[in-house]
Amino acid sequence: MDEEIIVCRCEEVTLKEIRDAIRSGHTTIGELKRLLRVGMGPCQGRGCREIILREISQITKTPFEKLNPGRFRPPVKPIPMGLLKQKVSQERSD
Amino acid sequence: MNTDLLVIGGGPAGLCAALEASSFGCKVVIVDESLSLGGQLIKQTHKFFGSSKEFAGTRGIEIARLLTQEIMNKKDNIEVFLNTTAVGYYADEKTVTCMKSEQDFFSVNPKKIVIATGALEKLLPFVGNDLPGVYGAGAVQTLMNVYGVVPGKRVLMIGAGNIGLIVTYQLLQAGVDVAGIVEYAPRIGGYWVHAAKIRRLGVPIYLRHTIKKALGSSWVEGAIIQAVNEKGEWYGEEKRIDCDVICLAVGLSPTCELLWQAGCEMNYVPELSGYVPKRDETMRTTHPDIWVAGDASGIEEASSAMIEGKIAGLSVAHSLGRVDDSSFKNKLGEYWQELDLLRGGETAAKIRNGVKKVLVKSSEDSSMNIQYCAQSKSQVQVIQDQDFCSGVLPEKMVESITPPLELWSRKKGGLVVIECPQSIPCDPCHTSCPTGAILPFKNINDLPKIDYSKCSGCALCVASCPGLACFVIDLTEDEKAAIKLPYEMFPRPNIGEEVECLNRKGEVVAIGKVIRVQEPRKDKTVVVHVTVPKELAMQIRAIRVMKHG
Repeated sequence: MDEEIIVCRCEEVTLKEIRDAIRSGHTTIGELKRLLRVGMGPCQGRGCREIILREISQITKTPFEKLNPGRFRPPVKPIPMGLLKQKVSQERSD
Repeated sequence: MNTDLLVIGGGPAGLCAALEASSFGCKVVIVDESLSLGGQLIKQTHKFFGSSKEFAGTRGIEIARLLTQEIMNKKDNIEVFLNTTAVGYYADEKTVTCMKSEQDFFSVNPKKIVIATGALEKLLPFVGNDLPGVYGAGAVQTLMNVYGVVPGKRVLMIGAGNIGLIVTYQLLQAGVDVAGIVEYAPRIGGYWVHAAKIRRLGVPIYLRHTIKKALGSSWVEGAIIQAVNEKGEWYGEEKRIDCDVICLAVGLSPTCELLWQAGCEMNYVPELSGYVPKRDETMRTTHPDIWVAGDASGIEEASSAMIEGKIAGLSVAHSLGRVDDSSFKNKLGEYWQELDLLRGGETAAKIRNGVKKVLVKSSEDSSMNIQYCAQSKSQVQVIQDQDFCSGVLPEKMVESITPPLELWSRKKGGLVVIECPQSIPCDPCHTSCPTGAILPFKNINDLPKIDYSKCSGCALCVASCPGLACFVIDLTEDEKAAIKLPYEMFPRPNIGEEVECLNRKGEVVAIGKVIRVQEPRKDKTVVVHVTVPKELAMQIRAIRVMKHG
């Protein structure tokens, strides 16, 4: 059934893929992001992070509050590249 | 852009922070990603609990309107950017970058920041959770209450917390069928009166059940649910529920990205539903220039979010030297008293425990007399009854709310019956009572107490109770009893019309006749007077207009 359950909806990653990755030793959010792209879509992990942490907690038998939820980098929401370019050229001309 | 204070998030907490700080002369900038101020209040069509001194008995949409108006009246001091998201905090430059729509990108360099970013909805992993027709409860509320669009024809609600219960009621008001509510825990998580409202309209609550699967290939056509045991393992037969919408109301998480980016010390606190910053009694985080307020500091109610916002705004003004020490201390003490009252009830025990884990007092100033999340009531007895746990008053408890028969049987106009068995912070029944029959509350978390000799049966409490838990019953006629009950549905019944009478579980137990429809006194709740068989007077708690034709 796990292969039918989508956890990261932005990147369409299933519960099975996540559990397999954790069982094979990728037990941090950072590693799972690099490996599976979970939490790297438009919502930036707002939907899946907690579900994934719960899986890590259960599989590695680590209390949830001891887990590292990963780095939170700006921007919190996707920004069009053109907008950044505009901003930079504006600042240069100032 | 420079400013004294940047408030991120224009919901109840953010708006109160902005108003408070600006009242001391601070220049404030508010950014909010929505198209209007008010945050989630703009979809809250139900009446709020709390103290009548604040907004109890007032609908959320109305509170949003009042707060927005106040902000607009302070245009000289408060600048608002809507459709604008604060996308990043850069510690070295102390800069917040913002994006307006997807058109404009700018930075704000504030002296101080209040992060009032609210919350986001939790998701649930189950088969088919990505099918069209699976909604978050917030989306359903936005569709219905902001845009006037119903999400579907028949909804299965997941989660019996306050949001699940309230949205179920709003769906029923919009004429949408609700197939049931599925709740993992052995009892409802939201206020008992919210559950009672929907149980008496016939919506079942499946306690200790979970959703296993959404059915359908292109969109939701049904759901499979199943019971779970104490360990969370499935057992028993799977149940198929026909529905075209599955609505997830399984909790919220504080929106915390900017707090992490700013390097605030964060803790995972289950009682507050996620990662929240450590804060002192003024809502200041471990970052000296950053405050937090509202759901971003832990999931709670809008009423407490507003007070937290005021505390943060006050403290920002104090840190900028705009408030002298003694007025600061006095006001802070007052706000904490209000906060402690709101958190004093049975349902807020979780919040008290959660806040204690992250509250770091900045000073041990005993002159301030703040209790900091002290429980203001003695331990409440937890009732285990199956019916009670899903919002139905059990038979054995009916006697305790029945007025003294000797007085009741001869009292023209009837006597009040209040079905409010859970300690929650709320007092409009008392404040609306013109005769003093509903006694003053020593503490707003107390259960209502009635002096029946003073009750005139006027039904003002019936119209004002946010939980729709007050009824008036008149037994003075020979065969029939007249019940005055609250009604918030469409269509309104006409005088002389026959209506279905429902008991506390929503079963039709009689056909009654409408004898009067009392217009809303202040808000939109009408009071319908209906005659019913006398022996059913303590069973019937709702009516349903029969399909015409």
